Amino acid sequence: MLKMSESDANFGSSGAEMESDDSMVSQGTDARLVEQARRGDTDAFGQLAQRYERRVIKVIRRFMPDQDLALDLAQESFLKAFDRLDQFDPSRRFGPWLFRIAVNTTYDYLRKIKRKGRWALFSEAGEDRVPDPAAADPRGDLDLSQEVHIVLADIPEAYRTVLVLRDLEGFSTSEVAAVTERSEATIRWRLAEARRMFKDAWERRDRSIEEESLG
Amino acid sequence: MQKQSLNCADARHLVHLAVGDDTLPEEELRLTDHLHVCSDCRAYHAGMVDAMHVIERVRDNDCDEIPMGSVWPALADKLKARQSRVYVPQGRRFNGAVAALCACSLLLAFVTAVQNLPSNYPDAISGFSPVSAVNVKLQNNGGSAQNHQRQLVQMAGPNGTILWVDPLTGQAYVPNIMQALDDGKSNLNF
Repeated sequence: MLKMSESDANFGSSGAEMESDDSMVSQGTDARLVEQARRGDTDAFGQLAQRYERRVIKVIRRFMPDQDLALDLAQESFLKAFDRLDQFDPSRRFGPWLFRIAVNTTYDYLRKIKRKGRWALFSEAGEDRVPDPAAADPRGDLDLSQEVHIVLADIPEAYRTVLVLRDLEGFSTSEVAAVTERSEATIRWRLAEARRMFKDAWERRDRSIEEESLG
Repeated sequence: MQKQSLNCADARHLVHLAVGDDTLPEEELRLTDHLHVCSDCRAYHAGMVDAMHVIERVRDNDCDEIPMGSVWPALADKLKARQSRVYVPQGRRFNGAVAALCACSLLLAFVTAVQNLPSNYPDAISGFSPVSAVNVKLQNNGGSAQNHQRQLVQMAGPNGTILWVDPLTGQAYVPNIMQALDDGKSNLNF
């Protein structure tokens, strides 16, 4: 169903994207560029950033749909990667390491937002809990993508990451294992659980919509 | 070879994997066999396929074009700006937050200590200044001595008035007569 490229530069990408990135692949391998970047060559790091930026932004947007925020988080992820190049193990692939930084940066941001909301002096939560009966159901305005995002947000991070990377971004289970630094067996288990959680949550959502339309 | 039959819990675990083509060939066969004989798991499989269709639709629809060069130009500027900055060793940087926390803790300890000090002189005798402290045995005008001794502070007023103040209770006494006792203590009549 999902055939992934083994190329680092096309980590988790679809075939169409692979073709468009072919010219970039010829500019040098990731390993060579990483080595140059570690010696302070920002142009080499620039080539790596340009090679991966679209994929990184796409992955971040699965967790954070806002395009501007996703761009900021992608930039922050690349900066972190540049700062930590000396911690990168050159015997491993650069792609999973970079995506791990991007996913962790995104989760850090989401946790920060959650904490801010919890400790805010004035909360608007009370207003949210009392919907205006005259107002139309806001869910009608949501598209499928937004609804799926809302359902995914309720799935625990460890499972959500696997589901997003495997089913929405098309990474192979071995690639997801490399990004999350877990064994493939663990990823298979989490993937099964994540799909079950998504199915249950989606069916609950369907049932509540049906009940509301009947009642 | 006898194939091991699947129970429904194991079959459903495989259903979750099978809908994304994540089962091994041998697992696929065992699952197919189970689905042939178990209508509940067949229904579960159908529900799982529906849920996966939702995910696939989102995956296929979310193809917003992200233009090349969305990140790198701004990133390059930031890296250049950082490189031009003076290097500050990370390990020796002054941490203002820790210093502020220490200062707050010391201030809080000081305020707490001051608040817990006994109030020696009540407001009612402001203008008087302490002269000396003395141990006394209190005695009323009838001559009957109270059983306890007190340490009182002698306070002198601006016009020469003398008061005796109990620093524990803040009560002020105006003595009529002070009698010296053998043990060096005084006896006050009020």
